[in-house]
Amino acid sequence: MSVAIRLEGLAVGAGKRTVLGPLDLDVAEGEHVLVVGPSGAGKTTLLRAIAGLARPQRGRVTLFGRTASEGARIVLPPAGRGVGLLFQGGALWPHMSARRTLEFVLARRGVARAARRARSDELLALVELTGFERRKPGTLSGGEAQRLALARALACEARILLLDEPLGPLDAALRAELLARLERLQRELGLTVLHVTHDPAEARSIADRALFLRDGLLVDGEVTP
Amino acid sequence: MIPDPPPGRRPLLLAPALLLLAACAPEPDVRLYCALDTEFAEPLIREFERRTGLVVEAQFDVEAHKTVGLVNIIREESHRTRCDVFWNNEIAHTISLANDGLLAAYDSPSASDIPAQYRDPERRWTGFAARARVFIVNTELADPAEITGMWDLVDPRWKGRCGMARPLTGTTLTHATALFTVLGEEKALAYLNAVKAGGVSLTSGNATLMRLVAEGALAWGWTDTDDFHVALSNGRPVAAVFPDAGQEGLGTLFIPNTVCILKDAPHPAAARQLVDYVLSAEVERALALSRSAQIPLHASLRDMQHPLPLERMKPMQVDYSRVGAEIGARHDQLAKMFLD
Amino acid sequence: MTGVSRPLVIAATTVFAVLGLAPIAVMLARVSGADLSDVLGSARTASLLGRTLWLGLATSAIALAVGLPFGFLVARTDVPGAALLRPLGLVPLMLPPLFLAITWTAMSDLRGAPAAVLILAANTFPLVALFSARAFERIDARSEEAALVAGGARAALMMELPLVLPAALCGTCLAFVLAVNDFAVPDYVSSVGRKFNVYADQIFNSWQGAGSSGRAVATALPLVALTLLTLLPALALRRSGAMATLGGDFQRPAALRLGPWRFPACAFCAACVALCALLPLGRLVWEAGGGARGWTAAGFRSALATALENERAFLAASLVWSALAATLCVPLALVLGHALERWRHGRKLEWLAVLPIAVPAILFGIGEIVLWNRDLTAGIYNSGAVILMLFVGRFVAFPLLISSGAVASLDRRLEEAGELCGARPATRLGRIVAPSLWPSLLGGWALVFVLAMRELDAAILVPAANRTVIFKVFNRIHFARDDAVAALCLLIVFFILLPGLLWSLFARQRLEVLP
Repeated sequence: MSVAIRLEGLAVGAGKRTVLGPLDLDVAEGEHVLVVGPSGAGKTTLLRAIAGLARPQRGRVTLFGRTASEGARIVLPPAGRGVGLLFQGGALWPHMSARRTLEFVLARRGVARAARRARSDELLALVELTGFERRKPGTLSGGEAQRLALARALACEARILLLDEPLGPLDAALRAELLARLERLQRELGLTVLHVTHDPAEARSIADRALFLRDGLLVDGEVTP
Repeated sequence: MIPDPPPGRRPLLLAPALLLLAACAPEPDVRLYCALDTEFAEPLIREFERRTGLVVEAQFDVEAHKTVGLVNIIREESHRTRCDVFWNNEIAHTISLANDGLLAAYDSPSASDIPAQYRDPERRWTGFAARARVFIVNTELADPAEITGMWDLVDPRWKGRCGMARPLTGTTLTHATALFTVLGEEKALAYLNAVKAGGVSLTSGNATLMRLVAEGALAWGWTDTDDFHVALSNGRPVAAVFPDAGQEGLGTLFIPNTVCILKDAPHPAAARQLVDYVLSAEVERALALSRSAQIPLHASLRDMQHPLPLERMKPMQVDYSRVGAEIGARHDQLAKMFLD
Repeated sequence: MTGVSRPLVIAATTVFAVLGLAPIAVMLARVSGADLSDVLGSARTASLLGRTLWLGLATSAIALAVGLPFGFLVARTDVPGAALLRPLGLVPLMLPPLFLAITWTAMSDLRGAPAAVLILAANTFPLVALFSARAFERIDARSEEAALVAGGARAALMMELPLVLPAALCGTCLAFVLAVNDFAVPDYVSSVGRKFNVYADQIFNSWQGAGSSGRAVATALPLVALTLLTLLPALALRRSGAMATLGGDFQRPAALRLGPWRFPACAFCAACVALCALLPLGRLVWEAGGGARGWTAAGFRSALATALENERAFLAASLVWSALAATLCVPLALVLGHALERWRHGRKLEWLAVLPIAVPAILFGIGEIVLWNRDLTAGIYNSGAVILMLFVGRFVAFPLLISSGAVASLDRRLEEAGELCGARPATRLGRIVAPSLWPSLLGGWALVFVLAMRELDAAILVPAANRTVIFKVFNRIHFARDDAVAALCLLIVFFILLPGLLWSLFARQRLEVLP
């Protein structure tokens, strides 16, 4: 099994302060890894560094064997990393309908205009939002918005899916539903998933392994609440 | 990846296009800077255009700037003269432009019967259609016969009831400067200090003073004949007093309009045509009969019927060149006196 | 410079530098050491500055005292008529301050310094109200409810005031800046009697007297410094006043119940609107219809029709130039405002962005002459383009600051999501940022439109300005205030208010100028 994500001595700072790392991590292709930690542990920073949205201080990020960043140098831009990020809270574009959101992404990915509608329909179907094409984020429920955000992440032709507290705004029933959907999608699409959360119980059922992040460092041992 | 045309760039590219379009304004045949009010000057300019077929682009000044705006614009533009003809409604600043070497000489045939005292010896400017400094009196509040000379303004019996514009701009500044040249430093300062200290209401301009007298807020005060005539034409209860008209009196200051051609004017031939027209007796007559009631200087119009009682007026003998030369320094001096 | 489109920013910066900064630079180049030492060493300079400072402080204190409660009441309480009072409360800001001066002085004996202070406060209190109202609205409902539970309405107010104060003080700083730079109102209200000479006046006097603009520029420098010293804290206060982010889980607070205080509160707001907007407009309506000669509806209609007929060309010119300038400012402000926020060195350059409004209008106008009256650019100088360039250069700072404030409030992750998808910076700006900010962009458009319609001091120096309607009115006001002048003033006011009027009639949502 090849390594999808390799972090070597990765450290990310805020100003002069290091808020994440140095840490080493390997995530195999097709693996679903859960990263648990309290607020301020550096979970979101970890995902942003992998996505190329946060510039590391030092260390290396390698994605499917390609160097994405070396020290503070960004080698691969965010759009070129094959990464989809489901932001905490969704960060959907409030003025774009569900269809417009996905077609916008597909256009950026070079999908021909004629094919965009069909592809966006596929993506909406994948997250069970068929019929929501014209709805804007402000009119969607929490669960629907999360599914649209997931569809948008998938539209980026991602091989790696980064999930930042994806179940946060959802009630128990919706959580279970979204988890089941994630599991299915991962299996169908062969995605590598790095999933961060503050809730140790979240996603344990579908994750292949769970890691604990505290004060920016991965710690060994059992995950404690 | 199919790049979308960056939408933000389109409006930015529009800007130069719009500017180029707007920049394609046709060049006029002659460009006039005119300090005389639009109401009086514009019909004459249009008549000139009609007769000659020339297109005149006229730029006017704003009342609050009292000519100085245009004069200073001419100075700012002197590195690349844009104006062809400057029609000033007073004389002192025109003389200062001449002294700065910004005017071209032109002896207009239309000016042949204008008295020499109103013409530059070097023919860089010519005076015409004058205003006079007069007292405007509200006849319901004061008897014009009781007001005879400039010193009445500072007479204690009129305290708080009369006024004048602050001598910092326009014809009031010209008048104050003329007083220095005619009365001498000491007497002129005594007068102005008495004005400052003596309960004389000071206004921002002659038009404001005219309005206050016409509306009855003040009994009388200094203004120009054109402002006075506007009030009279509007049916206000006003009369004009030409001060110091007696034998020994100082007389009334005449402030002529002046017209000149700028050195390096872009359209000199058309400029001369315009100046000939502006200096014609016909234009002077029109200005005399308009609401501004300008006073004609052409000898041929000496006997024309005029709305104002010119026979009561005694023109002040003043060296306009000296007034023009001193006006800048006097402004600074008066600003220190009249502004806190 | 990540996250921003480098070519766009360079292009926009070039346009801004040419239109907004170059006129200032050419004027600064004229100042000599002798000019400076004359001005700075003069006791009169200090005295005038002191007096102007007093004017600014008094004006802004009143603007704050009136604007803060007004903003609170119309934005956050159940005061009757709030929906109408709130937009009406903006009207005084849109009126040329000179119109307030001519109507108030006609209706009262108020003159001199007190008149200048009250008129300028009436003109600028809406700035404080605008900022305060928006700040009050951005307090999360849950924070307020927690305070209400803890100690009732008083506790809620005490909790909220420190949160709102930065925004209110930002508006107050802007009111101060407008007051200390105003020339027309102090001049008009002391047109009789002892002149209330302010510093802005002195700049014009020195230009006039010296015949050299170098002296005028030197004279202006202390006022420019004072204005910048006020604007820079205003920018900082604006930042600290930003609270909720668009698209977050912000909960809008409900209207606070005032109980029996509703009607006195309504009376206060109505009085502000009446004194500062309706009364001056009413006076103009009265004068236009015949005034002291006896008001008739027929006379009013006739005066309006005559004014429109006679000044149609001037009105059209003003409307076209103002609308064009506003339209050009919007994309410029979007690009530069976004760069100011997203580029890590952007904030250090904020002072450059506000420089065109810190410099007195008359100097800006002279700078236009010096810059554009050249052989190569003669066609531009001789045409209407120069007034367009003047308006854009001078006023783009306002929508730029509004845009940057709006971008600061925008969830950065919206742009990051676009970046991840492969959208280029310019595409993100146009397709993600701009649509999210459109109310602020529209508000910026309206502000430039209003300011351009009112602009006189700089505009009179450039050739095309003779063809603007405010030029016409300003001249006529000095000769007579008759029905024709009043009717023309009303027409100008109508067209200034027209964009806002159309919006309130046809748009479904309220236009929020501030994020």
